[in-house]
Amino acid sequence: MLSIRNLSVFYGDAQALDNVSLDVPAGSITAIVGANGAGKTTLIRTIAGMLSAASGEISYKERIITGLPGHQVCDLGIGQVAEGRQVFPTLTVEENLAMGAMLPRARASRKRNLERVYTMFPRLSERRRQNAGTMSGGEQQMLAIGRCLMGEPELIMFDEPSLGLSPALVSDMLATIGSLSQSGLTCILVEQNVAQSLKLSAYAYVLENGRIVLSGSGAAVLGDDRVRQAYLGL
Amino acid sequence: MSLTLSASVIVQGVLTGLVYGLMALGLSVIFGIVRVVNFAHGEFAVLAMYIAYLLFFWLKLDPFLAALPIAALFFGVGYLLQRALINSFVARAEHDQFILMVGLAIVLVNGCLMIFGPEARHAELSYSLDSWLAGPLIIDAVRVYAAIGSLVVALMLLAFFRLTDTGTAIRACADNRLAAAIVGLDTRRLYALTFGLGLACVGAAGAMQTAIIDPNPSLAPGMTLLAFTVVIVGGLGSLIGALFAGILIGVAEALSSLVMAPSMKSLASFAVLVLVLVLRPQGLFGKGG
Amino acid sequence: MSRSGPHFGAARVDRRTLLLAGTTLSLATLAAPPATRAQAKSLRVASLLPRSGFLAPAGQSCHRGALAAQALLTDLGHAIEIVHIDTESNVETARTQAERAINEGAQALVGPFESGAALAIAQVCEQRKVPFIVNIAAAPQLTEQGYQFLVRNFQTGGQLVANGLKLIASLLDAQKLSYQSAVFLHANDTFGTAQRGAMDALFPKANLPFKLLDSIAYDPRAQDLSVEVTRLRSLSPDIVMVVTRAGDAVKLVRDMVRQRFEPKAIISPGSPGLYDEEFFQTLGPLSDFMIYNVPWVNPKSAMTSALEKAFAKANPSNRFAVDCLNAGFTFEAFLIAADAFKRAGTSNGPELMAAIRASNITEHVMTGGPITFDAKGQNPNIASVSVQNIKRTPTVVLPADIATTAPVMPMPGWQGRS
Ligand SMILES: Nc1ncnc2c1ncn2[C@@H]1O[C@H](COP(=O)(O)OP(=O)(O)OP(=O)(O)O)[C@@H](O)[C@H]1O
Ligand SMILES: [Mg+2]
Repeated sequence: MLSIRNLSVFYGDAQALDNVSLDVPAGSITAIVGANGAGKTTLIRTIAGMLSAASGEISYKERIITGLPGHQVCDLGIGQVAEGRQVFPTLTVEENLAMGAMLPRARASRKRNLERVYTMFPRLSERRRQNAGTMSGGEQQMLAIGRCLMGEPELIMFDEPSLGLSPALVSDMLATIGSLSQSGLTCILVEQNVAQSLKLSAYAYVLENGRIVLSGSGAAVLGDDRVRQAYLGL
Repeated sequence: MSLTLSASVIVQGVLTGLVYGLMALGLSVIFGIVRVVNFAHGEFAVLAMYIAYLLFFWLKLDPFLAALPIAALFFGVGYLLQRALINSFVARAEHDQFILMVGLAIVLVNGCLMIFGPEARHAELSYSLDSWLAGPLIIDAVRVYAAIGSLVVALMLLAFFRLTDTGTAIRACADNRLAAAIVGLDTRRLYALTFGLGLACVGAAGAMQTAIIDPNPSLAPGMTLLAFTVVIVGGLGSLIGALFAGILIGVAEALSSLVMAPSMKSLASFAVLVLVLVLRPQGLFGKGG
Repeated sequence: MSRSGPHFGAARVDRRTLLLAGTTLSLATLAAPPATRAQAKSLRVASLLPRSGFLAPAGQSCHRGALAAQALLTDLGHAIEIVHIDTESNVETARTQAERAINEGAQALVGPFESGAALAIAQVCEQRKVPFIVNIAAAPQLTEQGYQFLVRNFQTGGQLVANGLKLIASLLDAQKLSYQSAVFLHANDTFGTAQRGAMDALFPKANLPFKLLDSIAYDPRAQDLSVEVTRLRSLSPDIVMVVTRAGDAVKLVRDMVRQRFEPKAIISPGSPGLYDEEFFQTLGPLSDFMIYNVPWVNPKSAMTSALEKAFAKANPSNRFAVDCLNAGFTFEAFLIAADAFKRAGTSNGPELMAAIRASNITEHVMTGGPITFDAKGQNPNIASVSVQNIKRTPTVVLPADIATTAPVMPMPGWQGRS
């Protein structure tokens, strides 16, 4: 579904991604793991068109999308649940959700999608008139996911969705992502909870200092000694 | 000091203040969302005044009606300006933006000077000298029209931001720029719209001012300064704040010229500014400290 | 505001080139033996006026007088050559242009409508020993600082106010009116503030039959004067005494009309503003019945009619009746120079200056006695008269011997005028 070839990205002189190649097959979860500063967020933002690549190519559904502006990438069906949730704090829950549906692809079915989101997260429905900034971290994370779903994405990129959540909520969150994947959505999952997320994922890539150092099925990567040592402390 | 006198001065202050508010709204919208300080604000207002004057002179078009096409024209100018020029400066250092906007201001004011000369122009409307008696008060017709016009434009703008999706999207951009990019809002287009809206406010306010003040290039710096004062007093980025602070400063000016010497008028707005900066640095309606 | 006038872009380059050319030329002139200059057949006089910038309306009005002066003085058999120079309403420009004019051969200087520029030019003339005849400028210190090369054929601010107040009393007397109260409203610029000072000093001594309720300063560049007028209206004086400058007079009248404030008289004890063409054009019938007590052209003088003809010929689209204070004093300044040149027979600075100081010109245009100068270089004989706008035309209404019509007092209401 998404395929990346030899991607390099710089912040000024500092290289954040170095010749990264990876494939995300449709209908399953692909995990990307790596230490802090490895370049995971950079990868997601480059795919989303928010950062520009120095070299390399990104193609989505057989179409090259490198260099497209962010709003056009989103309109192709590539959604994002960003690191740190990134809600609009002074907008109400409902307004936040509406912003997710500003994409041309999602305008027509906005009403239906809103109902879907509210059914999926009844919490949001209860708080629809509340300002997003006044909600708890877990609620904000629900809102971020709901807002993303409002854009009718076919591919969702999750950047550390469980960051700062209680263990119980983390499980809920991962369960939600699992069920989204079950319903046919393609997912890229960047997670701190390496073990749990690799179990959920069909494929996985390990990113270190901007390079892919290991890849394979979720189970294979989870079984790799280096991964077990570095990320699981075993 | 008689009650009637104070009352009529306060009424005048409120009326003038509403126009100040609309003027400042234009600056506030642009700064609050695009984060670019429009140093050419007063110059745009003067340009609008001259256009209104010319439309009146050639076509006998009433400045209050001319406010509509001028606002539309300024919207277009603002939109294109932001797209073509300012967008590439949004991420640049503040002093680069400053130089760009000041350069624009110089071009505008000297353009007006070259075309119209330094003398003031008068647009003499059939009702420019009308006034109404309200009990013991006398109220100028043109000021009432300008105040109502300003209020209508301001409320329309507020409604646009509250009630429409595009308006909400613009607020979203101001709220969290990163999030706006993440959900796929076309921020460049929204900034251009915002700049256009900001200038449309200035255009409408300028056009309506033509009924009260005679256009003159030398008015520009004072108008920029006044708009800044109003925006800072009201709280950066707060639209209601700008409107409220406009009225506050209008009344403060009017009262100060009653209580102290009229020539102290402009000092009053600075006094309010200093007070607000000391007691509530974020402005009356500003967020956080 | 004064950072530019109609002169822009190309014009500025031209000026710079000219300045260069001027400097070269002046070096040549300086090098020439002084004898050739002294024996000149005609007198070269520079006219320094603010023809652009914020004083432009008045400067242009003076300039039209200078144009008429060239024609009329030549007709009268005077050998005079006037060079026109713009001071751009800027004191520094006035100084450098004076310097340049002398370098280029000007043997006397006339101008500059404004006291700041006059002080700057006076210093240059003092140094270069070239006579300087002030056409219009009211600051008292001009003739108090011992300048040897300066004379002023205009009233000082104090004289303007003193004479203006006396005339108000005469107006009330002549019309048998007993007005009780007045408010003094004045611009807060240099001139207006100086007039306020004079008013504060002179009013208590002037023994006028009415009370001064208040004095109000305003900013002549303010966008409107509504609050000032509201305050005025609440004081409700019979007479409003004003010191206006130009466009502010228009704003003042407009706000009075809007607030339906109709005093019995609006009188300027000596200031511009109420008789600019802009004032008449903008306000139409509302400009009528304003009174200003200023020196004016004497309608009964033969030379006035001659000047009026010359003025009409030189400026076909302007009204002499409106320009005549500015144009008249500007003309007289050139007359003083030409007359002295005739008597002295030389353009040598000190000799010409001596002749100027010895002037005794009985046949001239402005009201008052003969043009003479006291030890300080001040003409003490200038008289103020009362002039009133009647049918959009300034008309002398007092003193009776030169008045062309009687004053209209009290002022008719704003409504229903034609
Ligand atoms: N805006 C920026 N300017 C300069 N360098 C940056 C910027 N953003 C990130 N970097 C650097 O690029 C590298 C990759 O950062 P990135 O945020 O992609 O890492 P990450 O894998 O998402 O880390 P984390 O687990 O902390 O979120 C880091 O070294 C980081 O310091
Ligand atoms: Mg990250």
